Amino acid sequence: MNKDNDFELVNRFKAGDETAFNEIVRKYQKRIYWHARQMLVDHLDADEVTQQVLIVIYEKLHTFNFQSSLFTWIYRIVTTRSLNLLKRKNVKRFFSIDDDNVDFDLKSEVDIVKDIDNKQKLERLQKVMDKLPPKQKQVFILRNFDELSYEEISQITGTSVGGLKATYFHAIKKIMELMNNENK
Amino acid sequence: MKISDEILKYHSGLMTEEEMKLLEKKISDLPNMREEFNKTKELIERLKDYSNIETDESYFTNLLPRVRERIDKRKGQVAIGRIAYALSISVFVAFTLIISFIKAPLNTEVNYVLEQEEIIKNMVTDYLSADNFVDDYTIDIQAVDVEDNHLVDYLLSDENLITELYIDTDLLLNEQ
Repeated sequence: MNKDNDFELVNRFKAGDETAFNEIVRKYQKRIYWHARQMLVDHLDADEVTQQVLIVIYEKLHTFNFQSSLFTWIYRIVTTRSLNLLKRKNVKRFFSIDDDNVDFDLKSEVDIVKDIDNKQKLERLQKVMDKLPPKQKQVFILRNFDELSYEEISQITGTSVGGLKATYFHAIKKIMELMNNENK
Repeated sequence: MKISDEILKYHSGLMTEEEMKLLEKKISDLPNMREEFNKTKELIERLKDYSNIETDESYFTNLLPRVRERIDKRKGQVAIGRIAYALSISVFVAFTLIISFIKAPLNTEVNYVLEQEEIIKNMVTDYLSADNFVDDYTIDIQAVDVEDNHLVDYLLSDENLITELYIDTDLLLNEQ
């Protein structure tokens, strides 16, 4: 991904050029959506987080002063929003433990993945990802799917590189065990 | 097959360069280890492929207009909020001003004191010209026909004014 013109885009937006925001959205929307989707599993949740993140970008971009890259800043917003939604869902699930009528894992019928093969592929992945604690899930997604370096993930999460390596190790160990069990 | 922690540590970047070299040697020397390593690598690659999923592109085409719509709505809400805030502040300021005007004397302080002095002078002059007896230089304010009831109340309640009244009476008597 070309991060070179981010500086120009941000400055254009700060100068009042609204089309710069459109360009930022087009540039990052897929990565934002897919990160949220892998974290949250459900399309509607991912869609809501994606929209929230884009609104936050629009409203806060004028305060952005390149202490980190735009890309890192955006990822920080996505991961924080996704983790917060996961926590809220877990709290809801915890407090409605006796309520058999509520199924918080119920997936919405609306989805942008149309093809059956792709849907099955995604479901298999999500089944495995659901078994991971949120932090491990976050690090695994950033490392494995978003293909970020530990240094970049460290800037996003605020965790040390050593800590991230250990978290990734535990995540991948669990995933490998689950996938091996699935293949048996 | 249970994947050894060694191989996973290698993939996680938890190994030192020395440990990595040792593992690489093991992989080349031991067929079982090599098989395990390749299988793990393959699984990780397969996981990466799981993220390459074809999607309905119209979702991303429509995302920007949807976000723009929400931003515009929020701008409207913010504007309404600001107007409501400004209005509530204005009402509060107006209310405070009204309350302070109600509490304050109708005239400004300086004018009011001058008026009082004038009235007191007149009162004393009238009192004395009516051949009333002055014993302790005081005047029975209520006995004098003062139209300004507010002033009467004020004179009766304010000790300083009564004092001023003594002084003024004293001065007038001396003048006479």
